Amino acid sequence: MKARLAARLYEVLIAVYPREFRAKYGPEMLSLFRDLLHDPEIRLRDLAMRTLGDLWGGLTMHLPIRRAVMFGCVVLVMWIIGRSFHPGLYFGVPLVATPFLVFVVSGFVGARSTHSFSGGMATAFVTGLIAALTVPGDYLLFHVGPFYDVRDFVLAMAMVTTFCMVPAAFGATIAQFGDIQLRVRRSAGAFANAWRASS
Amino acid sequence: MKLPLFYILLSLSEKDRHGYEILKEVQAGSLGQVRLGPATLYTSLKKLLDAGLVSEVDGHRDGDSRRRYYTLTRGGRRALAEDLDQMERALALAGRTLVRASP
Repeated sequence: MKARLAARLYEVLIAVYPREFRAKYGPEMLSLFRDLLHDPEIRLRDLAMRTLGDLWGGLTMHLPIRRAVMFGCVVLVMWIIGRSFHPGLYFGVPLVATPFLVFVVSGFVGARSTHSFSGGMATAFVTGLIAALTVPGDYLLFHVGPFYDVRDFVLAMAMVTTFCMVPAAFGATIAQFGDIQLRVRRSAGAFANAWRASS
Repeated sequence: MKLPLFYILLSLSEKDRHGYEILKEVQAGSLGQVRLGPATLYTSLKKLLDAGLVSEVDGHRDGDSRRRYYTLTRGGRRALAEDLDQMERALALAGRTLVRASP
């Protein structure tokens, strides 16, 4: 029962990989995962931990990491330049709008390169990891927005993450627009057919 | 060449293998140092296939249609030999340096 559930979950998880890769290697990956599930030398808990690491490791091999790092560095440079002009709490429009655009582009490029929405989000996530250095940097380098406690810090990081992921999702959606349109049309068609059949 | 790719090529140098066999062989051959999972294994295999170092073998040998077998190409064998040669030279150099450095 546990093995069947784990296999089903793995089937869902491999959806984060690019479509072409999934189409060619998906069934084999699933078959191999089932073999590992039935391997008496491997405990289910160890396999779960190993699989999570493996999924992330595999995904990073598909991601345009260099470009994601480049986008992250662009945000950092923009922030350092912007903060040099406005070291106080004031956030100028360019300091907010430019990273926003960078994350749209990061999500778009990631989704285009990997042919998947999740690829765009993961690329933007890597960009965001580097860009998030701006939050502690704000305090350490420019002595603005000090973190009085852990709660403040967590809230600030959560806000930055949200700020990063919303434009990234927008960029990834634009890149996948044709595909999403097709899926919506197919789903609507299937729903209409089911409706007609039932009435 | 990265360590997982090296061990995958090494495992295929002996005989043609399918994914699960490669995974087990890599783990055993590297004394547990390299532990691949399905995602990293097939992403690595795709890289090796794209580079022409590995190719797929036609037919399902054990009657399981889901399993694909992989074989080392001539280019793959050459790349593996070059990598081993490079490692041997590095080992020899390290040995000589350590002998010189020892009092």
